[in-house]
Amino acid sequence: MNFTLVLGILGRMLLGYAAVMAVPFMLAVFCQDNSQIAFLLSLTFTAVLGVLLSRLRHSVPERMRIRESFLIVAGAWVFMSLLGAFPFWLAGAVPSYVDALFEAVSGLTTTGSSVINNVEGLPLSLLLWRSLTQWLGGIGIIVLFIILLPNTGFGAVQLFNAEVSGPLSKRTMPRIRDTALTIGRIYLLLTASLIAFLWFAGMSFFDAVNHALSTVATGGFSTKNNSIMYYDSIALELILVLFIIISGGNYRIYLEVWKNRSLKPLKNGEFITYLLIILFSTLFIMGGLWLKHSNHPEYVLRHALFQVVSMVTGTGFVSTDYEVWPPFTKMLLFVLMFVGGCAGSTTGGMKVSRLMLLTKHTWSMLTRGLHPRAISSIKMDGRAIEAPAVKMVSIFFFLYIIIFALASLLLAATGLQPFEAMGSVAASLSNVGPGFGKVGPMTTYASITAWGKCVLSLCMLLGRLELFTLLIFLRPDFWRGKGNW
Amino acid sequence: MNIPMIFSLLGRLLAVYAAFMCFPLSLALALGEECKAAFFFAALITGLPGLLLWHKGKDADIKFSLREVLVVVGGFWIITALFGALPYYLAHIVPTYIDALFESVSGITTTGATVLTNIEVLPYSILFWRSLTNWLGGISTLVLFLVLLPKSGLGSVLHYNAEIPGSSADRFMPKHRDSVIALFLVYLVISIGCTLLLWGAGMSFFDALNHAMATVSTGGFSTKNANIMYFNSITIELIITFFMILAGTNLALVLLAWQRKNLKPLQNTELLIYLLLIFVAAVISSLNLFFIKGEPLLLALRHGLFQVASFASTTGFVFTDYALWPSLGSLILLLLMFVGGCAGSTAGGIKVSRLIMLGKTAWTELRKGIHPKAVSSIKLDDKLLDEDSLNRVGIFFFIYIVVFAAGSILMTGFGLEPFEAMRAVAAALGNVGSGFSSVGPGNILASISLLGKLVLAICMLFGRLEFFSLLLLLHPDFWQRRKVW
Amino acid sequence: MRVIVVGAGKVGYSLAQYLTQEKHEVIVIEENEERLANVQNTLDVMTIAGNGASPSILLNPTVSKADLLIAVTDSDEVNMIACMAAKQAGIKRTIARVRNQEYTKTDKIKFNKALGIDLTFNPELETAREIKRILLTPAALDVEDFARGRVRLIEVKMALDSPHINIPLKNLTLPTNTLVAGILRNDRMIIPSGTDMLLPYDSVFFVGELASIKKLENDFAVRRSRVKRVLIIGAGRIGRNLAIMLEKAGISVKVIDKDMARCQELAEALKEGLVLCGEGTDIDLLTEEGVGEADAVICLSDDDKLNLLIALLAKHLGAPKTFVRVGRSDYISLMEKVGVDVVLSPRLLTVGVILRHVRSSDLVSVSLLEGAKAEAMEIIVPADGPVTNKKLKDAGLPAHTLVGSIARGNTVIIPNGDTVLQPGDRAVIFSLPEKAPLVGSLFEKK
Repeated sequence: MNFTLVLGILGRMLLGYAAVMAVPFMLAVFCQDNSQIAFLLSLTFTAVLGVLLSRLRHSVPERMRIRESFLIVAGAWVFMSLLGAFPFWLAGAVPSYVDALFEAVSGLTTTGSSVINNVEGLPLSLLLWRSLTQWLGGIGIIVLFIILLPNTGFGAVQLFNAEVSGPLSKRTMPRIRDTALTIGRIYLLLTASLIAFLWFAGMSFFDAVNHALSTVATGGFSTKNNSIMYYDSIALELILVLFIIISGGNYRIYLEVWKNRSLKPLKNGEFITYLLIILFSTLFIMGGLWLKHSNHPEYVLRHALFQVVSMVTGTGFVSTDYEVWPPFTKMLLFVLMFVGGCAGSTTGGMKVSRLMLLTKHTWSMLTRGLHPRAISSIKMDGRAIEAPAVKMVSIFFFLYIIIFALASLLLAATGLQPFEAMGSVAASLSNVGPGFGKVGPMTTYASITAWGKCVLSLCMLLGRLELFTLLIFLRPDFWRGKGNW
Repeated sequence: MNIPMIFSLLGRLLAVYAAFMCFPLSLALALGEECKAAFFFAALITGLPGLLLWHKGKDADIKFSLREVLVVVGGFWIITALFGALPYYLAHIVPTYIDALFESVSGITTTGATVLTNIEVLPYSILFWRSLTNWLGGISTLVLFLVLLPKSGLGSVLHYNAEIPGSSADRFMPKHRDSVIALFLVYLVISIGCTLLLWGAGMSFFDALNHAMATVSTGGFSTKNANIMYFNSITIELIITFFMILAGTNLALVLLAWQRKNLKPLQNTELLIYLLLIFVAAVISSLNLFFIKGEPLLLALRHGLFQVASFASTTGFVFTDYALWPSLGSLILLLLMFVGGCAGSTAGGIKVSRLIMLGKTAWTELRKGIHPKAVSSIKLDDKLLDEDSLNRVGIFFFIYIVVFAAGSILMTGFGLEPFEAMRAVAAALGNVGSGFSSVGPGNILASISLLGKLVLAICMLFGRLEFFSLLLLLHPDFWQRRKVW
Repeated sequence: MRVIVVGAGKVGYSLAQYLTQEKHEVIVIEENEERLANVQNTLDVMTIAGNGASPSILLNPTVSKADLLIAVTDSDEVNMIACMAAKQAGIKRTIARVRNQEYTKTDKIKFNKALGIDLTFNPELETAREIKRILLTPAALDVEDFARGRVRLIEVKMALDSPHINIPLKNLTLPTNTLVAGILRNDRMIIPSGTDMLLPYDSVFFVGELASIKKLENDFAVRRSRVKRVLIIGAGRIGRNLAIMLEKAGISVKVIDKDMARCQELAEALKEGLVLCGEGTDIDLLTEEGVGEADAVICLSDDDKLNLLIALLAKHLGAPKTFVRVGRSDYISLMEKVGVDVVLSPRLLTVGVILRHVRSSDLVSVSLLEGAKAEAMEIIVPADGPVTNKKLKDAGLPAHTLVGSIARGNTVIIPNGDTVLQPGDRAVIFSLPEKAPLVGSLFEKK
């Protein structure tokens, strides 16, 4: 195992990370708020570490082996989480390092759950840092790396594949760098336009920037304690709904739209199913809310839509206290957390395409039950999916549920009620953010024990990296030994 | 579709069912109970059409294909449910036919949840009929074989969806019929043993017999309102615990061990994991009760062990008000309902062996991350698991979870809180029973509308039939003659 | 001797070729017209078209008077039945090629005895065993055992800096009970005398008592470590057998084969080893799976040229020792020249087994060395033969023959000219192939 290679590349990434930290630092200096020292220290420490590590290896090789690429991806996320916690911790915004770590992980994984009870009391630089971590994590650390470094060859492809799993991961452009660059452009474009819209609709510029950063990443950090409920503005909610839905779509489709200058790629099975899920869930929730709020039809429509969109994409913005909603709606929101958005987007969850694949597979099994000798193939958008890919999706589903179950047990042991525990785990695993009960929409995760926060942080990482990337380290034959080569 | 054949078989079934109804009938006559008329008419209504159909289909071709089998299997369950409800309905112990149907389904699927609000005042014949439906439901597949298919060697066709190695579809005697009879004898012996032991431990003979029938079938109907709490005897608890765990194991293994006069068949991975799971869950639950709820240690152990064994084997007997259990314990019980017992037993749930298979597959899939071109073979107890079985297990798991999610959402629609709803649906799907009765812990049925009861009843059937048979009946291809051929 | 060969496939052909070279009468029976024609046109043998198990052929007086029948068709069962029928028709000895280990492994049902087969052999299994033997002796290029494991022969290549080179053999200090039995230099086998010297790049055959030879091995060991990791290309019969054997011996095995069905079969049989479905020439796959970290790479596909290519590729990527299986024995020296460490020919192994049977029944074993450039024979000195109780120098052994060791009772003796050959002695004798039959006849009973 080539540890020097791994650490060398990580060092380079850390340098980039330090550069990002410089942005809130400059804001802190400009505002003269008391987190300047914290950022300076974090920044310096990260940069120094980066320089030291990158010394270990002077060039990025054309090709690296599979084990190294997994280590790099996992290492990047872990290091950046650990280091990203420093600003919070050093600035005293949180009681302990574990809390800071939770906040950093929640940021990078675009979850959006917070342990800070009074967000509005934070210095602006820290608020910006929160949103920045989400923006970075949304597009993916590896993708950024690929964009920034000019001469990464096949090794980059392996890293890309290690981070971005999913049944349809195929590159649309021959060179990985071009793909990454275009994704970056789309991301940037969305962010910029959202900032503009939000600003025009009435948010302060600072708030607009922060919310835009966290929306496009489907993260969910807000600069206000009560999230979007603070604004109580239909216009803002609608703008956000639009952009959240867009952010939940498959970037590859947007890539094709861009490349071919036509809207035809939007006629994609997964995308349409995704929109239908949003539509029907909204209708169901409206139905559930009607009984209680039938004299406020506008309340019903706007919040049903907003919450559905927010939960299914794992964004996690809150427009109203859904904790007081009827059980039916809460259950539906809970289930939506698992569904997720489209593959190839910044959302969490299992992803619509996986569920579609499993459903088609089920149907095909039933057909085979009636016609035992029939050979059928499962198609998505006209392309046949091979058996090994189908198996991987089934196993993904299985692992997701098992991890959910085990983590729920652990959280229940820390004192949360069963549904609260399950909600918190689902919210973490699917990178949503708010849960139910003690960790509901109007509260934070501050009251959870340190141990619970660690478990949830791990869930957040597992979910963001789509399970396999991290679980692979459990295999003893990953690590070299006598029999492992 | 070979209609005469179907008539013949279903007719035969009805006749046999009517014959079984004569047992409680004779009891009612002997005790001079009022409901003797109810049983008499129930037997008549069941038996006459049965004999008629049998007669009509007497000269049927013994030509069988998958469709006939599926209709028969599906029909078996629907018929036993519908006609089994007659005694309850005709004896006026329930307000509506739907309630009677629910009780009947709960009996025959070995679920054990009851709509009756006061069990102890019911006539003995009714109580006996309840437990009898449990008992028959436990060996339903065996009954199917013995009664319906005397000559044909269609075992494999009937069990086409028993993809699990080691389930009762396996033969260990040359003629399928002999295997089935042997298994039945084992079942009988265990039932008698349990009865005698319970009687010796202090139960009345009637109670012992009924509880034994409900235990060995992992059903869970009791003759007392307070369920096992009524007896408050450690001996009785231990006896029942032992037999519940036994009933949750693959009886074929027991038979093999007895036949070969050695313990080697018991060195079965599934069995070991099942027992290990019970042990660990019991310990954790007991400790949870001891520390969090503050119960005295011995009591905590009694409660923990019994309840865990009850849920793990999907029997559903209740020894403590588990609704008052602390969070961790409640969640453990919920998860146990999903896990279920061993394949080839009377227990419900996903079954331990399926989970083991999925676990092994997941482990192998992880290896593919490191060695993409690796070819692997997955074995369970030295038996190779082929792709097809593994696929089916994956899909089964998917369907189970999806049905659970849908069911839970529906039940919250009927007014239950999320966790209550989940517990109810899990208990129905897993044929556990506890979690939704009209008496005892989980007594939510009183407040659910008829529609809710119907949903739960359907879940019970789905779970017992392991989806495929029923789902296939819903597949359009099943009913259509193909346009061409 | 009159020998019947049933089956004119590649092995049958080679057998017929070797036997007729040793001046035996050979009759070849084969059903396929083309193959038969091929034999007829190139070898000096008699041919009969038909099924070798059929009584009508076997009862033909020409055939039934044969001394030995060797059945090497593609089907184990046909081979076994042919031997059975042959025994009944009066043919004295029968040999069958049987690949299915279930027929040979069990001692509860003795197929051989019941069917009248004198010897069954499994070429693929033998080849696998040979590979394993060589693997477990890392320094050697070839390893053979004699006298029930008490005497061992190893072949070692002399390095430039070896302490043993350029010293006349009579002055060379070797561990006791070992000697140099043969030197392969420039494609010629030399049975050495005291004045010969070992030169760099010579392949030298040492023979001697097992313990002493092991000491000698250590002197030559380039890597002292045991073999821990082996990469096998090709999951055919040899590959399968070898993988299972090596896994049992505690070696970490990886097997690459491009046929998915074969991969799956092997995956079922292996417990820990890794089976990969892919091309052996796929550099990415080889690198990713650590070809440079393997202790040995064994190329066992059906295609000789592919094996060579893969072996060279592997060497280039860092593999220390490469093994190649060849079908055509004339490729052996070529391969070794180009850089393959060990070349094995299942066919030659087969021929070795057969020859032993053909020559005499006191011949315990015959090993063909270096593509049949020399032979190592283990013969038991009969109670009453031309050389019994004679001193070696008087035994009349032909030139270029060397008695490497004599195992007598529990001791192993490195003989000199005055050693007397006693009855019951197990002598390991080296000679050039053309002299081998002569040597054999010297040890026959009178």
